[in-house]
Amino acid sequence: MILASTWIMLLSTLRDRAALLMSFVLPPLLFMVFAAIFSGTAGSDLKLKIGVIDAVGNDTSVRLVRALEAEHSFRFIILKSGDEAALSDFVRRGMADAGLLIRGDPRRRPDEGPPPLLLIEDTARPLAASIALGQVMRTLNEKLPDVALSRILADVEASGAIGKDEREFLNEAFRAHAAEGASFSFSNVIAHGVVGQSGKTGNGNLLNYAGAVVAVFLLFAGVHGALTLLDERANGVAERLAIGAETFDPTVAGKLLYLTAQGTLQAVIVFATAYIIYGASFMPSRTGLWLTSCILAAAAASALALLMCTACRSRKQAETLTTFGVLLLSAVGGSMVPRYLMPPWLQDVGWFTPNAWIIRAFELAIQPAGGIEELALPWGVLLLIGLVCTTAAAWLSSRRTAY
Amino acid sequence: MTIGTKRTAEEAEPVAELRNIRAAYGKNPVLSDLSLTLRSGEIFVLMGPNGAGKTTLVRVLIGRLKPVKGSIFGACANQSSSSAVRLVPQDIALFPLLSARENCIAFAKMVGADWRQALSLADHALELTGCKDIASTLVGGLSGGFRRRVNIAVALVGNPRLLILDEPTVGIDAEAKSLITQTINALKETGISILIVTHDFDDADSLADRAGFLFDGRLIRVGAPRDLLSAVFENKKCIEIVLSSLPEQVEQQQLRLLGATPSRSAMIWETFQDLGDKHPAYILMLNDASLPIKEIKISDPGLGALYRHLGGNNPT
Repeated sequence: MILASTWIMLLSTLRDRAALLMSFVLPPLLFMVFAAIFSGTAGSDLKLKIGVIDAVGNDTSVRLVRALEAEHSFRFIILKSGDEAALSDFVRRGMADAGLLIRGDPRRRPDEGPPPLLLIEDTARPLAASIALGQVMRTLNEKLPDVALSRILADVEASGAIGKDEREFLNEAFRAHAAEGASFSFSNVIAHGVVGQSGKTGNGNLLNYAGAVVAVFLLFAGVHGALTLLDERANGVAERLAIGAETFDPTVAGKLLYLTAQGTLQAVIVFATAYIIYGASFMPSRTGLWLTSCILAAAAASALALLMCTACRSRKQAETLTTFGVLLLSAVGGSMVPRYLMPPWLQDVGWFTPNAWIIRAFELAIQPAGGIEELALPWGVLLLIGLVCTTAAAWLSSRRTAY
Repeated sequence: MTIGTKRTAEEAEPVAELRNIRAAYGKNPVLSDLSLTLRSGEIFVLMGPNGAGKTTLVRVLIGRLKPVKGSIFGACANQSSSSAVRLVPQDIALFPLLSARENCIAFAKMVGADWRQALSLADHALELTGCKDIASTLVGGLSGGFRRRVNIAVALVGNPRLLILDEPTVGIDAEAKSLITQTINALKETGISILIVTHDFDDADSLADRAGFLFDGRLIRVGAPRDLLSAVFENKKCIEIVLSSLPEQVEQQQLRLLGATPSRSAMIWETFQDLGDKHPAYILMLNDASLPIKEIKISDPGLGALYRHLGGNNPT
């Protein structure tokens, strides 16, 4: 009965175009959207739009504007004239994600007025302003180090450690040094190290999103397949097969077998998309670990979907419950937004979702280092979810059709 | 409850036998002291009002409900390990995205056949039900009549000794109904025992070798239709008075005085009379009764009439 049930599921899926699209076309499409959004694969970098007004127009401010224009990670829109109100309006209307007003000479001393640069943030896009702030600071330090140092020297002068002549001497020395293109060690404090997959397309990040997308669609496709249990209960097939006469419904095992195979194929297609479209790959030696993660992830998600459906009395009830359940699990489990962006308590709650364990299993399986012992925990959790949910679903399905 | 096997040779070989069955859902008793024998090569038609226990009786027969008391012999004993009894549900219990043949194969596999057996059983079942020509068509694309026939074919794949059909002709047109009736008669010729649960008295009259009436969990009449009808109606004819409008109170009283009672609707009344050679006089009397009569039909009483006589409401 188990293999017959699997065969029926296979034929039914092959002849159901909506199910085929849902299972094998939608996941890679959604992955490409996620990849474009979060990994910057659409253009190689995240391109925020920053509106800039140079209200000063002296040598230093012009140098700053030119340095910013040379940055490829942003799109700086230079407005020829205007004030704070005009720039705020520009940002408010969505013409830019954040605004930068150069309202004073960047070299001027702190005691000569308010900060010379004003960053304007739209409360609807707070992240844009934070990213822009970091980028402007980096540009100042790397491209205009003499300007950054002049403000430090002003502070030192204010503390009484040096006099005005010494400050001006040092300023001139730094300016000359900068004009020669020499490097300043203070702007070179941090070096950039990398762990995990690397490459021009951000392999690790892409593959993590592939795992996150796979987790959602394993659940959705699992639910789609599991709903057939309720259809079979409603149209009399279950009664015809005397389901309910046994303690455990054997068709649940048949459906699990099919859904696990289908889910594994889904995962392979999503990761293949990452490889073919974006060139994201992992070491061939990790293939076995990755494939095992695919199978266990598919089994756990399918078993959970079967349990959710068998717990319901009708298709309508199941559709409502599973949509709610899958979206909630995916949101909390990190399939929609990376968990490291979540508050700590929500990150902890995430471990109660299969999504978090599926993503973790893929993450550990595809990273260049680490062995099977590191995967034991996520694999164990996924296996446990699969076994417990399948047993419960088979028992519940039998009870639902018993008298 | 005793479960065992027993073979006796009476008029025909008993396929299944229930003795003094009592069945209940929790503390709610449904079947009381019910005994029934189903024989090979016969069509047994079970009738009764809603809630009388027909579905419960079917569940006992297919092994889905264990009786709290009584004995089961023959095909219905030890159901979990046998494919001797198969149910054809009222609903189309098929996989719509599989062809007729694939459905039969799937169910054959589910009852334990290997692939070669399943193919052979499927082809045989489709031939028996006249579905060979549509074997490759997806069930979802078949007409209502063919779906019903495939619904029956699927139940035949395990070569059952007892086939139970729940309302096999409900919701289909006259032509399809006729084809289903032919299919059932053809199946009977193979020696299989057929139990039909129906509210369709035309089906019952045309198909039944024996009939049973289930009221309040008890089989109150069982036998060949002719015997059952003659025991109640003797030589009486069924006189059906079809009215052209709803009868007034006075007209209703007149009809009752003539011994008539409402039949299939408030505008159709019936009475059972042994008219002998007095047909013309009786019709004249009815015409003189100043009733809004549209038509008078005189026929031999059928199982529907007996059902109403026993107290059943017209289910249709």
